[in-house]
Amino acid sequence: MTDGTLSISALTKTFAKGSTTVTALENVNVEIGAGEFVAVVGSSGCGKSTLLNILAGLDRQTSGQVLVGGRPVGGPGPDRAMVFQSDAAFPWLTVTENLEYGLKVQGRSAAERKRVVGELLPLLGLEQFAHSYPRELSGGMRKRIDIGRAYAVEPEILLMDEPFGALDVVTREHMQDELLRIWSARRSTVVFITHDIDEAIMLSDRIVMLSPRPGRVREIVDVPFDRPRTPELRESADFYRLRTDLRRMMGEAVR
Amino acid sequence: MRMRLLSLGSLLVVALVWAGLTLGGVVDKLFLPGPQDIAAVVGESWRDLLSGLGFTLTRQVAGFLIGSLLGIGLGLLMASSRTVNAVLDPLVELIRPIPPLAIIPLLILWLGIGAVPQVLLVVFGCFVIMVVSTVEAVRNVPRIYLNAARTLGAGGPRIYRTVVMPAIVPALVGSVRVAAAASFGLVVAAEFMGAQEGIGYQMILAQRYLRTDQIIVCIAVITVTAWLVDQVIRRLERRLTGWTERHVGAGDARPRTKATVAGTAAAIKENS
Ligand SMILES: Nc1ncnc2c1ncn2[C@@H]1O[C@H](COP(=O)(O)OP(=O)(O)O)[C@@H](O)[C@H]1O
Ligand SMILES: [Mg+2]
Repeated sequence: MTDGTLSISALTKTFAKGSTTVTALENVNVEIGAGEFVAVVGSSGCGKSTLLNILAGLDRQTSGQVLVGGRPVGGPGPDRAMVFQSDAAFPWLTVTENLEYGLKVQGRSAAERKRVVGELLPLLGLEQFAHSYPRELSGGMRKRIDIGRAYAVEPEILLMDEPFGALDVVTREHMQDELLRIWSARRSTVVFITHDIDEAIMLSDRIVMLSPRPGRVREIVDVPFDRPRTPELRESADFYRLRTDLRRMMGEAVR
Repeated sequence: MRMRLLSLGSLLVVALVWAGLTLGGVVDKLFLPGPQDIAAVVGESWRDLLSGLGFTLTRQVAGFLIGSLLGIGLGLLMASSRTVNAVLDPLVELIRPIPPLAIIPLLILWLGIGAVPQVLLVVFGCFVIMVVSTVEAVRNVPRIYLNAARTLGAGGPRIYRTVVMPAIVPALVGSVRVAAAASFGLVVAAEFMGAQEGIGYQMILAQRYLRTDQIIVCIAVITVTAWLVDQVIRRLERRLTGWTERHVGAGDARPRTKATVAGTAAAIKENS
C-alpha cells in the first residue's frame, strides 16, 4: 500500500496525429501531499484528461516520471481509483453490485462487501436505490454510484475527471457539497479535474492551472478557505475575489 | 385507438377482397383458393402438417443452435485475442459474402440428400450472422466501462467475463432474432432442394400436384411458427436486458426497496 503522495516531474506526453505530433503535456511538475485535495483547471484541450489518464495508469507518458507513494506507475492499481466524466457505472449491474465491483476484484468476502456497501449507501444517499439499475436513476445519483464505487476500494488516491461536468448547475453544486461530505469521512488524496473555477475553489486545497497548447503548468494557487466548507462560502466576498483573480489568470493562460 | 381501427380496417379490406374474388369465382382456385379451400386443407391434413413441421423444426433448431453457438464462441475468441483474430478474420471475411443458399448444390454433392446437409445449411447461415455480429458487438463495448474496470483492478479475463460479456448481450439478442428468422428460410429452402419429409418437402409436393391451397397453408404454418419463435426470443430478451435504456425510462427514479417518505422526497428532489 502506498501513502497517497503523488509526485509528477518533467512529465511530457505527445500524441502522433498522422504525420504531425500533438504535445498534450509539456514538462509538468506537481507535488501532491497525502490527503490533499488538488484541483486541476484549464480550458478544454489543454491536457487535463491526458494527465489524469497517465496518473491512473491508463496511458503512458512520453517522458518524465510519475511516482505514487514513491513508486513509479506501471499501470492501473488499487491505490488509485478513477471517476470519469461520463457515466461509468455498469448499466447491467444494480447500485449495490456496482459498489461491490472493485471489492470482488480484490477477493473480499461477501460479509465484508456487505459491510462496506452498507456503510457507503447512506453516505451516498442511495439506500432506497440499492437494487435499482443505473438507468432508473437521475444523473446526479448515477454520478454518486461512480464516486461510491471508487470509494469502496478505499484508494489512497481518488482521480476525478470533470465528474460533474455533465450535470446542471443546481445538481452540480449539490454534488460538490456531497463530495466534500463524503470526502471528509475518509480523506484520501484527490486530483480533481474541472474547467469550472468556482468548483475548483469550492473543493480544493490547491489549484493547478494549466495553459493550453502545449499543456503546461501556468500557476499553482493555494485556496485559503477553512474546512469544513459550507454552501454559503459560494456567496462570500473572499470567494468572489479569488474567483475573479483566477478567471483573469485563466484568460491570460488561454491567450 | 383510431390508428388501431385503421390497421384493423386494412386487414379486413384485404380479407374481404380475397373472399370476394374467390367466392365470386372471379379467380381460378388454382391460382388463389378461397377461405373454404384453406379450411378444408387444414381440416384434412393437420396431422401431416404437424409431423412435417416437427421434422422441419428439429433440423432448424439444431442448425440454429449449433450455428449460433459456434458463431458466438468463435466471435468471442476472435475479439479476445489479436492473434486468433489475425488467423480467423480473413477466413470469416472469405465466407461472409457467400449467400447461404448458393452452397446448397455443394452440400448435396458432398453429403447427398438428408438431414445432415439441411442442418449444415442452417448452421452456415446462423454461424456467419453470429460471428460477424459478435465481433462487432465486442468492438462496440464503450471504452469507458473497460477503463473503469481496469482502474478498479480487474484484469483481462475478468474484464471479459464481467464487462464485455454482459455489455454485448443486447446486441447479441438482436442478432439472434435475425439468425432465427433467417434459419426458417434456410431450412425450408434446404427441403426444397431435397428431402423426404418436412414442410418444405410438402410444399414441393403440393406444387407438383398444383395444390395451391396446400402451399398457402404451408406458408401460413411456417410464418406463424417463425412469429412464435420470435416472440419467445423477445420475451427472453426482456429478461436478459432489463437494464437497458429501452426498458426503463432514464431518470425514472423509483425506489426498489420499501420506500420511506424521506427517501421518496429525496428522490423527487433529485429528479427535479
Ligand atoms: N488518444 C489521443 N490521440 C491523439 N491526440 C489526443 C489523444 N488524446 C488527447 N489528444 C490531444 O491532446 C490534447 C489534450 O487532450 P485532453 O487531455 O483530452 O484535454 P482536456 O481533457 O484538457 O480537454 C488535445 O489537443 C487532444 O486533441
Ligand atoms: Mg477532458
